[in-house]
Amino acid sequence: MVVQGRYWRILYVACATAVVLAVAFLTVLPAFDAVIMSARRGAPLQAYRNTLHDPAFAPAVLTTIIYVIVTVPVQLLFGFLCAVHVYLARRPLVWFTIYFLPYAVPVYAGVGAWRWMLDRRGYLATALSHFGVAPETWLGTRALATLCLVSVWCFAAFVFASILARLYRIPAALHATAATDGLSVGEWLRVVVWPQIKNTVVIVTVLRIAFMASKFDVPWLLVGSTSTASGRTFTIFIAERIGGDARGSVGVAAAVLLAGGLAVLFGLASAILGRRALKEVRNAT
Amino acid sequence: MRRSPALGIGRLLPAIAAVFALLPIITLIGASFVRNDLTGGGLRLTALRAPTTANHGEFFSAIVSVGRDSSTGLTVLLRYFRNTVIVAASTVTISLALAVAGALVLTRSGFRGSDGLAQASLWGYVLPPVVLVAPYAHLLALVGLAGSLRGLVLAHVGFCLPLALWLMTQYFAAIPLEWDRLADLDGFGCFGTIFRVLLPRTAAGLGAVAAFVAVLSWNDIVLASILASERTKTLGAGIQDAFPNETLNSSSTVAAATLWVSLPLIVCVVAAYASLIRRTRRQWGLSL
Repeated sequence: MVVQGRYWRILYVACATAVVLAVAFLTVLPAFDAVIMSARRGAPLQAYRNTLHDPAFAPAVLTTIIYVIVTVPVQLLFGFLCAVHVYLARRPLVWFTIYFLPYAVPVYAGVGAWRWMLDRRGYLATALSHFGVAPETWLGTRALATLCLVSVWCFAAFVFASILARLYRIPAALHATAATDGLSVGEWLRVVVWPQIKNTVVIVTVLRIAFMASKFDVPWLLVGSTSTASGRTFTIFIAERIGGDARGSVGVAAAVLLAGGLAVLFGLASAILGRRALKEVRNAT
Repeated sequence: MRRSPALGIGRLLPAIAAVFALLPIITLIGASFVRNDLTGGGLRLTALRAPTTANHGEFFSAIVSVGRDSSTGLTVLLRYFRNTVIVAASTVTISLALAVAGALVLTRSGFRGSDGLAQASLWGYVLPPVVLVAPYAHLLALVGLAGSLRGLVLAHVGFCLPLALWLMTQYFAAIPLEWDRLADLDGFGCFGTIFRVLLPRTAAGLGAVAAFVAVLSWNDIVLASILASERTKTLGAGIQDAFPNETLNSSSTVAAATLWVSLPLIVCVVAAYASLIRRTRRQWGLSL
């Protein structure tokens, strides 16, 4: 039963007003302004045409697609395995801290650490050169591979924490039944765990796709200041083209295209999964 | 079915995962103890044979000389660090206050469309900072906040708030409405119910949301690069500018400084999430 009273109603109205104003002025208004800024006076679609004809546009989109396709499944698998391990481990807090630590490390420190390891004289690059990979390529022609590796390291912990939170909500009775039935580990994962975490995994996948497609910090710190084409994602393309006067620029038009693409992704996910799944993953997160 | 580490995953996979998670952090710590004349092009293991604490000493000397000498890379870095702490702390405070207010309305007011609105806040993912940076620059210039820390805080709140609201709603929804009614009957009143019943029971959730927002704000590069001035830059945008002749991995002094200025965030985030996990396990009757 909801508590209702004069003071509560005043409080609800005050809170709702504050939040609506904040979201309207800080999120919705800038989003509309981005669309307005992308249109040049007299030629509203010119910036979009220029974006599509920009020679760096297609490579940046392709790089982003590869980046998302590689990093999201690896994050999911790594996060899932770590979550199951922490769920079953004897010292869950210790293991949780170990697996979660990369997420807590600021990206400039994380990227810096990987650069120490994979630069041309770094110990990891040197060790990998024994397998025929030239050490100087990790931050050069193979920068996309390095970017994927660093991104998985930085962000798999989000998947791990989301799945772990959902695992904790599996009713203990299900585990007890599984133990009574003598299920093997594979059967336990398939019959007990998977049906419970399925919706969470699907929504986390959608969130990760959106998150990785719009990721700027790691790509910028790793390859943004170099001239190599490998690893230059769509967000770097946007940032480089926003420049001083953003009105009607390729950068703003590309940013609107990115938001539009993400909106389509979310719209499709909402339509396919429905509200129930969204509510469930909210519970898990 | 046994519940032990050996179950299915074995011991090898966790060991590999732990090495993968910890190796970069250990590397950064190691790099901070290498003599600067042995660096360049990455960390060689041979360089660790003669460790030195001089880089850390240099960092703390810079802290002591803040205000007297503002020209060195380290003092510039410390200014960026101060800006980062101010912006992240302000963003966390404002976002949390608004998220709690929003969650209160969405879960307690009985408003019919609250479920849809709570899920709509998830659409905040559609508007990442790189999409909003140009309009923010335009709008902040209109209201005279261009290049200021206040402008940067507003921009950070703008992209953190939808996600904070989405998460906070869940923590409030988990508290039975019956408790509100009982608190009301006991004469707690609105604010008594919120501060003595609701907030204490969402403390772990508040910590987790605060940590989530802090990570987003602390790691921001694109907004700070374009919206902040030289005086108001934060670490993400400015760490490479503080040492113009070096990259993130060309100097052990930079490694030591990076380590120290990252420590507050690491400690706060791990503590907040570990507390949430500890509370959740206790709630479900699992051992710690």
